Amino acid sequence: MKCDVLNTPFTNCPHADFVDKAVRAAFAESLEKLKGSLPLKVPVVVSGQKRFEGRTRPRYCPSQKDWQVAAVTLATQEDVDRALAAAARAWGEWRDLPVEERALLLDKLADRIQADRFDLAALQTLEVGKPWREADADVTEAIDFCRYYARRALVELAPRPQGNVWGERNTLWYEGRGVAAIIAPWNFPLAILTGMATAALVAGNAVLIKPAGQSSAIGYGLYERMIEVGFPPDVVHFIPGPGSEIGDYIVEHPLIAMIAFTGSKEVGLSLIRKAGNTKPGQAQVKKVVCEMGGKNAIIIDDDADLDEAVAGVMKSAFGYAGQKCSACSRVITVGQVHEPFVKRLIEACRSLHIAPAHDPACQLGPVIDEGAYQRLNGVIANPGDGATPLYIGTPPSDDGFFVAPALFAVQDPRHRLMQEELFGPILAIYQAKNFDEALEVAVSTEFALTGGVFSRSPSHLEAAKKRFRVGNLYLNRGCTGAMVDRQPFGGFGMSGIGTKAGGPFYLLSFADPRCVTENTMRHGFTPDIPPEA
Amino acid sequence: MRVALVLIVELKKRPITRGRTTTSTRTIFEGVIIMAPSSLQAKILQTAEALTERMKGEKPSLFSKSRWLRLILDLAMEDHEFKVDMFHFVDALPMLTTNEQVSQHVRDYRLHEKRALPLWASAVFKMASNPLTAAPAVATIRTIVTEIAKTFIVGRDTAEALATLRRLHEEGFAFTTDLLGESTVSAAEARQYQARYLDLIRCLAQEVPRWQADAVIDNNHLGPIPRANISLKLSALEAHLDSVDTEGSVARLKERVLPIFLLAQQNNVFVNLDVETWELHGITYDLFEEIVTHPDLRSYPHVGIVVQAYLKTAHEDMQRLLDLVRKRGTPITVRLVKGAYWDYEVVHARQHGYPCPVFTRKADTDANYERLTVMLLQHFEELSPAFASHNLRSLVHALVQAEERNVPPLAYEVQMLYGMAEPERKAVRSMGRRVRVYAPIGELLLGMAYLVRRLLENTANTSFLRSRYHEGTDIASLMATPQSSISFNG
Repeated sequence: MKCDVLNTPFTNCPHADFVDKAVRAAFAESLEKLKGSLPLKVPVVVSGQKRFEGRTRPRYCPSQKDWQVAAVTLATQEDVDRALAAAARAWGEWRDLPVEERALLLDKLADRIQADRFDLAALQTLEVGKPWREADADVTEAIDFCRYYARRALVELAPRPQGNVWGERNTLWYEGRGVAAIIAPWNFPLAILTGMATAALVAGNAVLIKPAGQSSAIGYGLYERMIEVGFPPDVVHFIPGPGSEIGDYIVEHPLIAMIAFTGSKEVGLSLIRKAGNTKPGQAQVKKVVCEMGGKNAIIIDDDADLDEAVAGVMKSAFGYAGQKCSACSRVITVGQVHEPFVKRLIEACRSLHIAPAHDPACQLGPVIDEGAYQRLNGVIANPGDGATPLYIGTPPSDDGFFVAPALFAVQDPRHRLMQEELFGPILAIYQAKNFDEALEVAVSTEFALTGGVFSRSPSHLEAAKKRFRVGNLYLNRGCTGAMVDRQPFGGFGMSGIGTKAGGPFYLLSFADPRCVTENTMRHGFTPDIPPEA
Repeated sequence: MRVALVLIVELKKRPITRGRTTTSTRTIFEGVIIMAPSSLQAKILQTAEALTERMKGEKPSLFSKSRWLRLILDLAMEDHEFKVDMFHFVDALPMLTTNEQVSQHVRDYRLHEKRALPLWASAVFKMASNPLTAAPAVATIRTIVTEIAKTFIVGRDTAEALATLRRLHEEGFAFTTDLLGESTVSAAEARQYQARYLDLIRCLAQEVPRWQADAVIDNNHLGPIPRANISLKLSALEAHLDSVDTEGSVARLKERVLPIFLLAQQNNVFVNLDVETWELHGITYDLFEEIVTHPDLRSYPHVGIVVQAYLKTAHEDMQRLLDLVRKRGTPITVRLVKGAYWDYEVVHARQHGYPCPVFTRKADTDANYERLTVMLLQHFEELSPAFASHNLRSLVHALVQAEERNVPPLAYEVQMLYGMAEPERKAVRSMGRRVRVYAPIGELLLGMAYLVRRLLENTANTSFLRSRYHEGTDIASLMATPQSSISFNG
C-alpha cells in the first residue's frame, strides 16, 4: 500500500549532532552559500503565480543592522481576495481526497525539509538572529510536525462507527472547514508556521499563509517546498505583508473559515474579537486556534541541585534571547536558597557570550528588530519602582540589536516585571518564604503556559503537579524545548485556548465533525442481523 | 554537582546479544599473533589464583571498614526501592541546612517507614522524621554520611589530603588527585578552579620531595617519574564548552589549561586530562593535542590522557594518540578505563536520537578493554600504559599480556580508586607492579555526587566487586573471557 510509510511509528527527527565535524562543516557551508545570495527576493504567490513587482520591504539581519537579508514583496487586499477566491474553489476537492493522500504529502514535505535542513537553519541565523543549535532545533521541529500530524490524521480523521444497534449504521468523521488563515510568528519561523499550516491542510482545509514580516524569507522557503512536493497551488497561497495592512483584512474576510494564530496576547485577543464579527455573505462561524504569551516561572526549592537549576534557568531565560513564549521570565526562590542561587546566576550571566547569531560561539544573540531593542532597553532603564537591578550586562556592540541580560529582584508579585510578558532577556527574581508561597506566586499571572520546579522533595513535586497549573510543567529541568509528541505544547488562561500543538487531537481543532446515520431496515429486513448459527 | 571522574564503572548488562563467540587463534593489530586463547586463559587463571592467594582474608574498606557503609550497601543490593530513595536522599543532603529540612526529607522519602532495616537504623530514621526529636538523629545521619564520604574522598582540602597521600606513599602506593566540587556555570567559577589547581601543584611540589623513596612507585623502567600527579577535568575549567563551537571551546580552554601544564612542568608534576562525556570528547582530544605539542611542553613526557574502552571510537582514539606521540617525539601516558558515564551516554543518545557512542553490552566493553590493553602494550614505549580497573579479569589479563610481550614491569602501572578494591591493589603491588590510587580532594558533603556514583557502582548488578565480595562468586567464573559479538578488525 502506498501509505506504508505512515504505518511506521513516529520518531522525532534528531537534532544535528555537532560533535561530528562533518555536521559543523555542512552548517557552515550552508551559511556561506546563503551569504553569497543575499538579499533573497520574496514574492507574493497566489495560485502559483509569483509577483515580485510592487511595494517591497527590506529585512535586515538583526545581528548586523546594515546587512539586508531579504526584500519582501507586500501583499495587497486584492491579492488576498484572489487567493481566497481560488482557495475557496479548490477546497472541496482537497477536502474530499482520501486522508492518506494529504498525509503522504506531509511526509514528503518532511523529507524535503530534512534534505535542506542546514539551508533553512542557516537562513534563520541571519533573518531572525537565531543561534545555530536553536535554528537547527526549529527546523527539526518543523519536520516533526509534518511526520506527526501525518500519522495522527490517519487515526483521528478516519471514519468511525458509533453505537451498535441493529437496523441503523452511524458513522462519525472529521473533515476540513474551508479556508484557514495561518498567521505565524517570527520566533519559531519555520516550526510554528509549518505546524499550523500542515495541521490545517491535512485536516482538509485550504490555507492562506501569512508569515511574520521579520521571517518572510523562511516562510517562503516553506511555501516553495510545499509546492515542490505536490501541494496544489490553489490550495496553498503565500501572502507576506504587514499585519496592520492585510492582517485584519484577512481575519475579517467572509471567505475565511478559521484562523490559526500564534503571537502576542494583544493581537490574539483582537483577532478573536474580529473573527467574531460576522460579515454579510459569511458562510460560517469562524473558529480560532490561538497560542499567545506566557509569563513563565521557575521555582528554585531550598533543596534544589543548584548546578542543574542555574543551567536550567540560564537556558530557559536567555535561549534565543528570551524570545520564546515558553521562556522563563520569573524565578521564584524558596527561602535561603535565594542568595547562593542568585550569586551563581549573576556570574553565569556575566559569562554569557553575546555575539552575532551566525557565529557558532554565540550563546546570546540579538533581539528581533529595532522596535524590540528600543522597548526592552526602555524596560531595563525604567523597570518601575520596586525593582532592584542585580545585574545589567553590557552589549558587545551596536552593530546589531544586542540587549544584554538583565536580572532584577522584586518584592511584589504584582510588579510589572512579574506580570507583563516582555519577550526579551530580562528576568525578575522573587524570594518566597516557603514552597507554598512560591506556588501561589507562580500562578498569580493571567498566563498559564509553562513552568518549572527544581526540587528534590517528592512532596513538593507532587504539590506542584496539582497546584502549578500551566499547560506545560517541567520538573527538574528547564521550561523550554518542548518536543513534538513527547511534550504536547500549549497553555490556557491568557496563554491560549487549550490546544496542544504536537499532541493528540490538535488536528480536530481544524475540522468539523460529521455524523451520517443510515436506516438499514427495509420492510422488516435488515442485513445487520447475523444468520443464526 | 559536577560528576567527578571515575576510573571504572562496571557497566550494566543489556539484553542485546548476537551469540557469536570467538574461538581459536586470531590476528589482531598489525599482524601480531596472540597465543591460543586456551593457553592464555590458563595463564590468566594461574595469575588470578596467585593474586587471590595474596588477597586472602582481606576485604576492601567499603566491605569491611565502615559498618554503616556495609549496612547501606547490603540493603541497597537487596532492595531496589530502598536504594533509589536512599541515594536520592543522600544526593539532596548537602543542600539541607536545617534539621527541619532533613526531617521533612526523611518523611518525603519514607525512610522512617522502611521495613527490614536493623532496629537501630529504623530508630534513627523514625526520630529524624519527627520534628521534635529530629536534632540528635539528624546529627547522627550527617556523621554517618560524612564517615562514608571519607571512604572515597582523601581530604576536605589539600592540607588534609597531604597527610593521607603521604601515608599511601609509605604503604607503597602512588597517587593521582583531583579536586571535586560543584559544576562550573560561570567564568568566575572556572577561574577559581584554575587557581585551586595551581595552588594544588605548588603544595604538592613542596610536599612530595620530603617523602621517603620507593623504588617501585617512584620510577618507571627508564628512571624516576614525578611523585606528584594530578588529574584535570575540563568541564570545571570553562563554563562555555559546546561542540557546536569546538574550535572556540578549545581556544578558551587553552587559556586556562596551559598555565596549569606549564606550572606542572616547572614543578615536575604529572598532569592527566580526564575524559568526560562524549559531547566533550572531541574538544578534550583537540585541546590535549594543542597543549602537548606546544613548543614549551613538547618534550615533557609527564602528561597523559584517558582512553575510554566503552567508546566505539576507542581504537581510533588510541591510534590518534600514537600519531600524536610520533608527531611530537615524546611519549605520553594513556590511562585505559572502561568509562564512567555509561548511563548518561545511553540516555542522552536516546533522548536526542543520536547514534549511541558507547557499547551497550558490558561484554563488548570488557573485550574492547582487553584489545586496547594489547595495543597499549605493543606501543608501551610511546604510550605508557596505565590500566585503570577494579575488574580482576581485566587487570590479570593486562599483567599476563605484559609478561608475554616482555614488557618491563615498571613500564606500565595499575590504577584504582581510593576506597575501593584495596585487596586487589595490595596484591598487585606485592607482585612488584606500580599501583596508583585515584584520590579526589573536596568538601565531603559537596563531593556527594562522587559518593553516590561510588555507591551505585558498588551495588550495580554487574559490579565485579559486588560479585566478588558480596556474593562470593568463584574465581574461575570471574576470570571468564568476555564474550563479545563485535568484530574488532578495525
